[in-house]
Formats: sequence, C-alpha cells, structure tokens
Amino acid sequence: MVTKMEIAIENVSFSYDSSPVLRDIRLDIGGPQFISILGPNGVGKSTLIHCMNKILKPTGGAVLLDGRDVSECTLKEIARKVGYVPHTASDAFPLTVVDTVLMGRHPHAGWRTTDDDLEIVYRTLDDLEIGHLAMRYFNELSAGQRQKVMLARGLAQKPKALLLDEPTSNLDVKHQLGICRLLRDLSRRERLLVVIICHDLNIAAKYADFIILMHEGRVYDVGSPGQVITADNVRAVYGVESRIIDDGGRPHVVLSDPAEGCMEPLCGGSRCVGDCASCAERRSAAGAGPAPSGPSEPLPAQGPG
Amino acid sequence: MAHRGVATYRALWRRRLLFTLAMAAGVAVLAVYSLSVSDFNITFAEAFSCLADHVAGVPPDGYIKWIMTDIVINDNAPRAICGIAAGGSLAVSGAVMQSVTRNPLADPYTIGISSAAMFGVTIAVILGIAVLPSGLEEAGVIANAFAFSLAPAAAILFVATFRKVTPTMMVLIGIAMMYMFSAFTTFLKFNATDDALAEIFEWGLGTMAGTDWSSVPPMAVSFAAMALFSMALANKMNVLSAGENASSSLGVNPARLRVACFVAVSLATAVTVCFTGTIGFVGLVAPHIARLFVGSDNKILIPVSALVGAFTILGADCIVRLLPGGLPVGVVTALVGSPLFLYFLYRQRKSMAW
Repeated sequence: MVTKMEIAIENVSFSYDSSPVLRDIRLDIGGPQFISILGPNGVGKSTLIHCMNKILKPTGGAVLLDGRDVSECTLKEIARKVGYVPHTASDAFPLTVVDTVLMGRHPHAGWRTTDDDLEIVYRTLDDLEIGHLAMRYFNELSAGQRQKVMLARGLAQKPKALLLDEPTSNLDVKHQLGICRLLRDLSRRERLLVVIICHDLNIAAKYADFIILMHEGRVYDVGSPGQVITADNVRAVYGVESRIIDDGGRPHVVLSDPAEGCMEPLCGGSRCVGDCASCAERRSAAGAGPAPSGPSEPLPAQGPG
Repeated sequence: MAHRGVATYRALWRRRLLFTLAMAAGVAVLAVYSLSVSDFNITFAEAFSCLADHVAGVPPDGYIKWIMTDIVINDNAPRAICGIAAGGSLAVSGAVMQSVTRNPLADPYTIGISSAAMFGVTIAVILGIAVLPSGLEEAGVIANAFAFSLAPAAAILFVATFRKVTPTMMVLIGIAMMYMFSAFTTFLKFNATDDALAEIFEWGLGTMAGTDWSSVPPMAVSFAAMALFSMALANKMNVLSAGENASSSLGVNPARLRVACFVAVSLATAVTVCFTGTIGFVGLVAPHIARLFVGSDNKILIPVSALVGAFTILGADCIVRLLPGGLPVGVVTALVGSPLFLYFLYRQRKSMAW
C-alpha cells in the first residue's frame, strides 16, 4: 500500500543565470492531501515544483523526499516516488494513448512490456474514464482528454506524490472542476500527496486542503483556503482588489476591475473620488494623490506561470 | 482477471511483428534478386543457384557458370550486403535523429556530417593532407572522410559539457558546421584542378559501385552496432518524446540520452559515408514511410525503418545497374522515392498525423 510522503524544502533558492526566481523557500508538506500553489505569473511556482523532482537543481538549499536529499537520488529513483504532469505535451510524433501512459511504467519496468504493466495502464485509463480512448492517437484528443491522459501517465508511475503544473489552464469550467474533483478524490482514495499549480483562486479554494501562496519568489502565506485566501493577501500578491464571500464554509473571491479601484458596494467605482471610507484609507496608506487609482500593475493574464 | 485491453494490445503487436517479418522477407527476396542484376545476362534462378552452389562449396562447372559466379559472389553479393547495411544504418540513424530532436525534418546529415566528410575528402584530394598518413591515396581519403565526419558530434559534445543543449540548439550547431565546412570546401575547390574537382564531385554523389568484400565487415558491424544500440534505447527515446521535463520526471535524462544518440548516429553515418559517399533521402524518408505503417513507437519504428531503408537502397541500386550510364544511387532513391513518399503521405490514415 502506498504510504505517506514527506517533502521537505529547506532554504531552497533558485536563479536563472543571475536573476533570482526562488528566494530561501522553507516548506514542509506531507501527504495524503490536496495542495494548491497559488501566485502570479513568474513568481516561481513551476520552478518550485521542478526543484522537488530534480527537473531543476536548486542553486541553494536542499529538497528532501522522505528524508533523502533529491540531489543524491537518480532521476529514476525519484520517478518511482514522485509523478509529474507537465503543463503542455509535445506531440511531434504522437503515440497511442496506451503507449503514452505506458511511459509511466518506465521507471519501474525493464525493456519488455509486461502484462502487469499493461494491466496497470488499462486500469488507470478505466479509473479516469478514458478506457475507450486507449487505441486513439494522443494528438487526436481534446485538451481535456489530453490532460487526463497525462494524468494517467503520472498515476501509472504508482507514485506517492503527484506534482501537476497547471493541469486546468487549457480547460473549460466543467473540465476544470472535473479534474480538480478527481485530484482531490485521488488524494483520498490512493492516499496521494497531490500538489497542483493553479491560477484560479476559486477552484483552489473550493477543492484544496492546503494552500501555498507565493509572492516574489517567496512563500507569502500557507494554510487552509479560509486562512490564505483573504482580500488582503490577494491585494498584496496579485495587486488586485477583491471581495471574499463565504461559499459553504470556503472562501469565494469576487475580483474587481483594477481600473475601478474600489469594491465598496455603495462607492462609485471608477468614478469614486474618495468619499467612501475604504478608498480614502487605502489612498492615505499608499500616500497616493487625491485621484483614485487602482493598483499600478495590470491584471495578470492567464497563462503559463 | 486480465483486462481485455491487454489482449487487444498484444494483438496489435503481433500484427506489427508480422508486418516486420513480411518486410524482412521482401528485403531478402530483393537482395537475392539483386544478385542477378548486372550487364551480364543472368536470370534470377541462375543467380540463386550460383549462390546456393557457392554456399554449399560446389565449384562452378564450365566457363559461363564460373563468370556468373564471379559476378554474383564477388561483385553483387557484397554490394547487396553493403546496400542493406547502408540503407539500414542511414534509416535507423534518421529515425533516431528525428526522435531525439523531436523534429520530423531531421536526418543523419542534419548535424553536418556530409559536408564535414566532403571537407575531409577535399583537403585530402587537393592539399594532400591526410589525418592518417598512409601510402595509399584512397585509404587516406577514406580516413579523412571518417575523421572529419565526427567533427560535428565533437563540437556538440564540447558545447554539452558546459551548458545544457536543447534539441533546437543541436540542430543549429549542425547547420552552422555544415555551412562552415561547405565554405571551406568551396574555397579550396576554387583553385583546384579539373581532375581534383571531378574526384571530389564523384565522392559527393553517393554510390554503391565502390563497395566490395573489404567494405562488408566495417559496414555490417557498424549497422549491427547501431541497430542494437537504438533498440536498447528505444524505450528511453519513447519517453523523450513526451518532452524535456516529462522525460526527466520519468527517469530519463534528456540531455544525456540525446548526446549519446548523436555520437552513435555520427559514428554509424561516418562509416556509411566513407564507403558510399553521401546518399541522401533514405535517412529522412525511410523513417517516415515506416511511421505511416507502424506508428512512432521506437521499438517497432527502428526495425521497420531499417528494413524500409535497406529495401530502398537495394531497389534503387538494381535500377542503377539496369539503366545505362551508371547513375548514382542517391539520384534514383530521390527520383523514385519522392513521388512514392508523397503518395503515401496523401493516402495516410488521418490518425497517423505528424
């Protein structure tokens, strides 16, 4: 039976050439649970999960998987414990769905494909309700189906932890919800530590057990969705005004247009000249002029982080 | 209770293996047929009996049979074996290059091997400079071709030691090497004599006419080694097709695999180029024809590519020998193969899209 996995991130820093991406990250996460990493584009979310399974080597600090330093493990050893689902798939020379998912057995298998490997592949496809696609070619599939196939490949690794880089970014709302519910259920049923990068605050708030909010290469806040997803945190990290409403015990974020600058229901939004209390308070705190101005940064575009 | 998909998958593989065996039989028949193709009027049956007698150790009876046996055994047989080795080696190298660069336009010459070899030949012929000092001019030329065709791989290895080399970067390094060596070659040819130019030109054509029994051991060994190497790494090359990050996360170091494959392709292609010159087309197109039939799983793609490559060169070499004027084999492979390839491409199943 799959046992619990601990990932300890000890003072990890990472720079591309001389520009730092991660600064002194300290984090202990353990499964089984469903964790979502949030933060604006370019904040180092992907870099952080790539450091967890040695796709990248941290320039400072260490990552420990169950107490073992990843820099001392081979890629294959890590691949037996940690599955990874990339953000995009290459389909230069497409394989069938079975052959694509069979790659997940590579860290465990020898040269020959055994019946056991095939059995695991087909069972995984059935679990994800894509068994009927088995003999189709990967490039013929829709974005939602591709995402499930890549997820199946990660699960076929039979890992203790599964890292997913923006698994919902190309999907419509129904598929976003479907994938996230599936991931949460997998974390329960397979006792997996599931870590996803997500751009949708509400999806994360709805399904995640634990949220890691990143800001400027650092961990800004961690905790339950209710603790982390607050108007203050959203303003500090994304530079966007918002209103948090309660949705069955979980926070739900209502974003404001940055140009409007004010979320008070009675305030005039973009026409607000500071009559309402919150606008005046914010302006004085920021030392801004009399004209209302939204946060200086534009709304982050959805896309790869 | 086994999943019924397992049986479906195994059945697919049985069909693939059956196809491979049929291809192998086709190559064998064509190889035996090619023994009978020469200026001398030999039938297929006569060629086969010459071969059978020779293998059985029966001496040829009569002058005609003796000449036939000489042509079949000493000219055509090594030429057929070298054709299989050259075609197989180029096609496998092409399939490997396409897989590891994830680029359907890649072929064994993508990293500049052909123009590097030509440069080696040019300095041997024009300047008389040989990396292996030997009395024989021809050996010096072959040694130069071999040594210089390893230069692009050396350059890529050198760059790979101090930074991460992406597939695109490797292809670009190759293209830079190709232009550089072409420029050197053109510069030297500028002041060369007509005789030297003719010799260099012949080298560039690509022909099986120069192969004999002495070419068989190096070519066969190099083909066998390349085939074994690629089959051993077929699973890893499949994983690499998932992309850089995904292949790391599945336990395959993409940069290391790619460099190993480049070195292997360079060695195998260098050997082929030494004995046949630069035969184009096969390395690019044979893998694509194989993909149309069996898909892109390297475990089946590599053997089928090898068979398609061998078939193409054997067939083209037969046509060369039937036509007057001694056309180079590379011209025929391209002239006959290109329309055929376009036809296959047009008729391909939708699911086999690139």
